[in-house]
Parts: sequence; structure tokens; C-alpha cells
Amino acid sequence: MVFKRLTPSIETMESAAEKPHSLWVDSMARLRKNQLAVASLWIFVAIAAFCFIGPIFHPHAPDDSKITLRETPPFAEILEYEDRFGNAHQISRKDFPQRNRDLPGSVLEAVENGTSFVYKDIEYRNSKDIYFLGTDSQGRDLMARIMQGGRISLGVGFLATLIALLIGVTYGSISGYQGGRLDAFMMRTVEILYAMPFTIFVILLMVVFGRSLILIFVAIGAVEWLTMARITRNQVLQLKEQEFALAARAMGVSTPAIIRRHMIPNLLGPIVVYATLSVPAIMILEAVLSFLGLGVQPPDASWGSLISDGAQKMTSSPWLLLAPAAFFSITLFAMNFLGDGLRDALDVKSSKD
Amino acid sequence: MLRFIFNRLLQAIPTIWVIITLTFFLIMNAPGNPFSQEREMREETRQQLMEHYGLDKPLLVQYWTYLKRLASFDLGPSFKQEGRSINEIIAQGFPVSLELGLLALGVALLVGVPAGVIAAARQNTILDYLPMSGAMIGICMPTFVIGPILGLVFGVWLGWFNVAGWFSWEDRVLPAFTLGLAYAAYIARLTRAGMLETLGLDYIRTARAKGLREKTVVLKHALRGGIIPVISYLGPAMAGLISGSFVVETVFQVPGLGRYFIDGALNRDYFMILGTTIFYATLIVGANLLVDIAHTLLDPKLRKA
Repeated sequence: MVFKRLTPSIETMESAAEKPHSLWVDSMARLRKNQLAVASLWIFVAIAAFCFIGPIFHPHAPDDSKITLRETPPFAEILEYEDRFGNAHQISRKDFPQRNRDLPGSVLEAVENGTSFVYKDIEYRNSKDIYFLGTDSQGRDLMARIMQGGRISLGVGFLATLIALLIGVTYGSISGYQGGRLDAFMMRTVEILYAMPFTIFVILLMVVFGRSLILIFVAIGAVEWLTMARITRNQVLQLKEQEFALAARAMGVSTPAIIRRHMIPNLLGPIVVYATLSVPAIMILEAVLSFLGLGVQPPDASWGSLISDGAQKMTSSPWLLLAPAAFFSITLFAMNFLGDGLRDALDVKSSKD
Repeated sequence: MLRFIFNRLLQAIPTIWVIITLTFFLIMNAPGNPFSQEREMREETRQQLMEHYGLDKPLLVQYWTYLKRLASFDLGPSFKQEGRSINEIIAQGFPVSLELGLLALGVALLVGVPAGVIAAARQNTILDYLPMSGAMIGICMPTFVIGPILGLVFGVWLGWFNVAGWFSWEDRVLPAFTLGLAYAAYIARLTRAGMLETLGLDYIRTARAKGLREKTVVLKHALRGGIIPVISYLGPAMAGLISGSFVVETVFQVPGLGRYFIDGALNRDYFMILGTTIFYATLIVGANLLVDIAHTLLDPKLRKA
């Protein structure tokens, strides 16, 4: 309480000079100078907007399966027609001769010329629909599927990181702050879990608890918290010996309050950096699971399962592999560059161990 | 030194035991059982099967039996591949995974270390930026993206290699590169960082002051210190290469252990999952042990501790 008297004079000094910069203001200024990181941030925002807001403006639904339109390449010309029962169908102009054998010359010519034509009493007209990224093996619009998959991939990436953060930071700060035997025991546990092959452990959890989306979050979060716990512990070990922590303890502040008020705010830098770099790592893990058939189950999709589907069709329809792979890779690039930029900006020495 | 190795071995045993126990109880408590997916299986048959594999006994009894079996290195029978033991399956699949892992490690080291050394020796030139941008690509693109794309380009479009299979040496190229490239990227970054740090040390200045050629300084003096981070990375890398190969094995249809593990997981073949997990975990603990030993041999400072 003695300190309080000094406060007014400090304030007058401050108002005279420039306003002091907090760590965060400084860091953000540094981040803004890093063009690569800023560009990555915008790319990431664009992809997230594409996945989450895109469907509002996108004319095709991810589950709208048009059998006649299967494996249509990007930007293909689309014909629309009504069958005998009055149901509307679409077919790619290029596919038409392949799907209908022995066409009369006049029809073939019309198909070539890009005009409307009549074949077997059915009128084929040019459609205004464009499938920017083509369609998949079940005639679903790939772009809509990528949006849907991105929602799951990004969602898993962020939620699982959040879970890993909550567990890891709590565990690490308790271990580091309490020290002694509890610390030794808790860290030994982490070490043992570290010896588990990560991917195998997640696969185990998926087998044991069944394949559902929520469990993917939990399984990945449950594995990824280990590194977070280690980083937090090492930071807390350093922080707790510093004067402000000693002062708080001397004033009789309770341990949970010290951890909450004094430790965690000071941990934010390394945590933010590690979390940013965790998101792509977790997205990869989820994609691996989905790729192996252990993650997202159809009809749901994630970028991993779309890449897996695409890989099976890559000989006949390479766009099915290349388009989701491009979205996935660009997102990973952006997150990694952003994480590196944040690390430099916040001046965190090492994100690992 | 011997004492150090002995101590580390002693530490490894409880680690492996905890992993065995954890995996065992996780798997055995899984809802459903290995035979619940099969169609048209009569209740009696199922009962008989459960009895045959000892799954009807209390869990602790099963655990004890399993531990006793493990003590004689018997991982038990496979539920799904009748008449085959997990030992046989591992003996068949592991050499393939090991070969793939070692080839990939070779790719990773042969690409990663030179790239890192060159980048460090020519810091902030095009020879630094180019390999490091390449490394970023290698880190960001996971194997299941690189794999099919390499298959598409070199297998389907160029027709140089088969897209799947494991018969001739040509079939090894794509899987080994797919698996190795990500690690090559990490190794390049580690080598560069390690080399840059070592190149700034006093003894390097001394070596240069003696009038040694730059090539000798970099390759003989700096590399020895600069490579240490790579050595410590080799443990996790080996573990990842051997246990993480199931994506590559799935992509290129390589008949390795990873495939069996994934099939076991998809089919709820309990002993299969248990056996392979324990096998992998032991391998990883062993790999880390070897790295620790190599580390102490290379770094005299650690030897005293």
C-alpha cells in the first residue's frame, strides 16, 4: 500500500512524455512490419471466410449429388435437360458423346458447336451453372465440398488447440509452480506419454471410443497438450523466482490467484506462438486420421478425407486431388509463417522444449 | 559410460511397462468386441471364440496372462488373420517398414545436411534462401499430400515409376522420397541453425586464423559441432520414420507393418493393435536411448554429468 503514494507522480511523468508502449503494442507493431506474416494472416482470413461465409453465396450444396455430372472437370460447359419424368439433370457437354453411344451426326455437330440440341425427344440447353473446381465421383460440387471440409479441418485445428492449451497450461503451471516431488511426478508422466508414438496413440483413442467428430477433438487435444505443459512449466519455473511473484507471495496472495493473475499473463507470449504453430500440426493430424479412414466419416468431409478421395481418382480426375491439396497446403503455409512471425515479434526464444 | 547406459536402460523399463498397461486397459475397455462386426455369427460361435482367445476371463486375469506372454516375447494370436501370430506378422511386415524407414532416413540426411551446411556457409545469399524456402515447403506439406502428388506427377504423368507396389528397387523411390522429404526439411533447418551457431564460436576463428582453408573449417571443424542438434533430432525422426510410415504405406500400398496396424485398428483386432503399439513404443524408447548414447559420445561436456 506504500507504493500507492508514488503513483500520481509517475502518472504526471508519463503524461509529459510519450505514452508507454505495452509489450503487446510493441509486438504488434513489429508483426506489422513482417510482410510475410501479414500476408499470411490475410490469406488465412480469406480462406476462413471462404469456408465459413462462402456457402451463403455459393449456389451449390455440398451434399447435392448429380449422378450425371460425376467427375466433371473445372469450368466445364454444362448442359441441362429434363428427363421423361420432368426431373432436371445436368451433364457436361464433353461427357455427352461418351455417355451416349452412336449419336447421329447432327447431334454430334451441335455438341461440338456449343449450341442447344434435341436428342431422343429431350432438349439439351446450355446451363449457366459453373463448377469452378469441378465435381467429385458422386457429382457433388467440389468447391462446396472444400468449403464444408475446411469448416471441419479449421474447426478441429482450433478447438483441439484450445483443449490442448487448457490442459497443458493448467498442468504445466501447477507442476512448475508447486515444484518438488509433485513436479517430478507430473513431468515423469509427461515424459512417459512422450514415448508413446503420437499418431498411434490418437488412432488407439479413435478405435477405443469410436469414430466421431467430437472424439477427434478430444483425442488430438489429449495428445497435443504435452508440449504445451512442458513450455508452461519451464516458463513458470523462471517466473516464480522473480520479484513480483515473490512480492505477491509475501503479501499472502493464494496460489491459484498467483497462477491466474501473475503467471498466466506473463506466459501469453510463448503460449500464443506455440498455439499458432499447433493449429497446422493438429490439422495435419486430423487429416492423417481422415486420410486413413479413421477420422471424419462420410458424408461429412474434411480436407484430409477429400485428399484421400482425390488420391484414389487422381489418374482420371487429378483436380479432385490437386484442389483440396492446394487449399490444405496454403492454409498450412499461412499458419506456419504467421507463427514464425509471431515468434519473432513476441521475441520468444524457442517454441519447442 | 557403461553406468550411464545401464541407468538409461533402467529408466526405459517402467516407461514401456506404463505404455503396455495403458494400451491394454484402453483397448480392453473399448465398447463392442472384435467379433461384433462380423455378420451372421451365431452367439455360441462368438462365445467359443471369446473363450478361445481368453476374452471371457476377468480383465485382471487377462492382463496377467498377457504380461506373462510378453515376458517370453509372445504377442499373441491375431483375431482376424486366423492361424497367424502377431510375432509372425511383425516378422513379415517390419523388415519392409524398416527398409522404407532407413531409405527415407538416407534421403533425409543426404538432402538435409548438405542443404543446411551450404545455406549456413552462404548465409543470406540465394544459396541460403532457396534451400530454406524448399525446406518450408517440405515442412508444410504433409506426406499424404506429397505422396499422391509425387505419384501423380512421376507415376501417372511422366510414367517413370509405378504408383503402387513394392517389388523392384524403382518401387522404393517414391515412398522413400515422400517419407524422407519432410525430415530432410527439418534436418536442413537444424543443420543450418547449428552450423551458424558453431561458425560464430572462438575455435572457428582460431582455425581460420591458423590459415586453414574455408572448406576444411566448415566441413571438419564446424560440422562436428553443428551437427549435434541433428543427432538429437534423429531419435524422434527415426521413431517418426518407422512408426509414421503408415500413411506412406497406405498411399503406395507398401506391405509394411503400418498397413497391418491400420487394418488392425479398422477391424478391432485387439492383439494386433496391442502388439504393434507395444512394438512401436519399444522401438521408439530404444531409438531415443541410442540417440542419448550417441549424444554423450559426441559432446564431451555431457560425459561428465
